[in-house]
Order: sequence, then C-alpha cells, then structure tokens
Amino acid sequence: MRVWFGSNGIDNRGGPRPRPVRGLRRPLVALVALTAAGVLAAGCGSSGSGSSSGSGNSGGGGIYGGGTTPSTGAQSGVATVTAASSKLGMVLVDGSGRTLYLFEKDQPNQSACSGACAAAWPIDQSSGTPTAGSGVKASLLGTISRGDGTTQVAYNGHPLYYYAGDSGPGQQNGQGIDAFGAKWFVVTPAGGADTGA
Amino acid sequence: MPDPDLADPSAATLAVPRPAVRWWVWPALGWWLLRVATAAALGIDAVVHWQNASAYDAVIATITQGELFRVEAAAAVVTGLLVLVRPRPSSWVAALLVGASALAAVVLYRYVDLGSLGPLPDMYESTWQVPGKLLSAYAEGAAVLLAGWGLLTATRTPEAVRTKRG
Repeated sequence: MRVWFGSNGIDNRGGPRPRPVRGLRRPLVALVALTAAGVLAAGCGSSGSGSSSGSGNSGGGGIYGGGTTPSTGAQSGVATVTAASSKLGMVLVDGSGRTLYLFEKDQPNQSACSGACAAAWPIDQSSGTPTAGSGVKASLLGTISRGDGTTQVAYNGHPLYYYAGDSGPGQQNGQGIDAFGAKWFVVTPAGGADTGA
Repeated sequence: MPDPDLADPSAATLAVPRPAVRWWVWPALGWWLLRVATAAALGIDAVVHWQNASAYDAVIATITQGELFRVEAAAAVVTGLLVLVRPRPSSWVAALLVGASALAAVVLYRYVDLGSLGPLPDMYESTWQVPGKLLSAYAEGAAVLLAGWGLLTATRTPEAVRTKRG
C-alpha cells in the first residue's frame, strides 16, 4: 500500500511530466495540516468557558486554554452572602444570586484549591468583612487569607467558591462534581454541604 | 505503447519549460508539516499538563496526580522532539502511545470513577471545566491521528521519497 502523498519515488526528471492524477494527491498534504490546525483551533475555542470572580487565582489564557473569563459575579470589593431558594433547597449565593460552593478537601478556614483549581472554581473574594444577607447567620460568615495575599469569604469555616461552569445566577452546575481530588457542593444556610442525601 | 517523448527526440527539445517549483518538492514539505504538526499537538499537551500539575499535587496515592502530569508533560516533549529530529518508526510509535494513553486517561477518568488503582491516585474528575483540559484532549486526539499517519508513512514509504526535494 502506498501511503505518501505525491511521488512514486521514481526520478523521472528526464522523462515525461507527471500525469495530472498524481497532482490530485498533493492536496492531502494541506488537508493533514488544515485538519490538525482546525482540531487544535476548535480546542482553543471550546475550552474556555464559564466565569471567574476574584482576581487572585485565575488560571491563565492563550493556548493554555483561557479557562476563565471575567465574571458577572462578585468582584473585588466587600462581598455579600445571602440565602436563596433553589431546586436544591436553600443555598448560599452572592449578592448577584450566583451560587457558592464548598470543597470537601478544604480544611477549616484553609483552602486546598489554587492554580488551575482556582481557575475552574474561582474564589469568592472580599476586600473586607463580608455582608450577611437574608437567611445567612452573620456569626458563621468570615474570611480567610490565602497564600497569594487575597481574602476569601468563608462560611462556617468553609472557604467559598464559584463554579466556572455556572454562567449566571440560579445555576448549580457544580453541585456534586468530583474534581481536584474531592467533591464540590452547594452550601446550606446552616453551614454544611448540601449533598442531596 | 512507446513513450512519444523518447520515441521522437525532437519532441523533447520542443517541450514547454518546467515551472520554477518542481512538483517533487511536496513530499518533503508534507513530511515536515506532519512532523511539526505532531510535535505541536504534543507540545500543547505538555504545556497544559505542566501548568496544571501543581493543582493536583494533593491528589495522592503512592504517587500524586501532579507527578503523573509532569511525567506526561516530559514524555510529550521528548516524543515531540523525536518526531522532529529522528522521524523513524519507533519515534512515531512513541508519539502515538503518549498521545493515545493521555487521551484514554482523560476520557476514562472524566466518565468512570475507578477510585485508586494500586499506586495510582483517584483521578476521577467529572467535569471538563478545568483550564486547558478540553484543549489538551483535542491536542492528544490530533497527536494520535497525526502520529498514526506518520507511522504509516515512515514504514511504507521509502526514505528517498519522504525526503525528496529534487
């Protein structure tokens, strides 16, 4: 079986010019390159999604994947945490209604999520003491200092995160996802994980 | 049937001059494009794995997922360089194996919770929402296809044809 694209391996420079049918194989060269470029470009275009709040731990961009884009959620400033009704019951959300999550791998008041993890699960950042909205116990609300100097909102000792797969308020696409070594859950006003159990 | 050009020497002297770029340049160009594209796909795979590795250092059994990511990144770099500088069948096989194993792992652990397997940590991750994860999966798929093509070419086409430039 012949695999290559153009030549039959015979040096016929002194002979007749190649028949046109041989030329038909040459576009395969371009086809291979274009297929590869197209596949890679598709990857570039589809890997970046979701949103990011907080500026301390975004993951990166360019060919690396552009995992996050600026969000509509809480930005730097004093964060608000409130309780909202959802299909999962009452859960914690930020001031704009975006769902907040906890990471089971976190230790009390200590985040185990940084780098690519924090790009997929952007932190709920606050420049000061967060504001407790309706349904939230102010005594459980606080902040933690992260290794990069940013301040993350915590509730009942659980550092709080967004999920890059939530595109707006009222979504809980991150509920129950297993990523970066443990599961992620929405947070109940009582301060625990809503595991759905 | 005799070749008219050879049968009639006068016909050769009347032939139209050849174009400046000769048609047999293309096999060599295509061979280079194939090698560069394969190396680029493996390079993307390497960058994503290397940059994400630190986020997986806490996912641990005997070895950590972060360490596996760094090994994958190193293997992708080495095999990418091999197909560039030494495009023999063994190099294409190595590139094919690196790409295929990475692609199989990312798809398997995306959809199947295998838990810890011996020294391997529990790498189940039920989301594509990780920076570069989907990009790297596409790159691995491209690397598999391109390396497969390269292997077929390297094993079934004489080197004199692959490298012919006129």
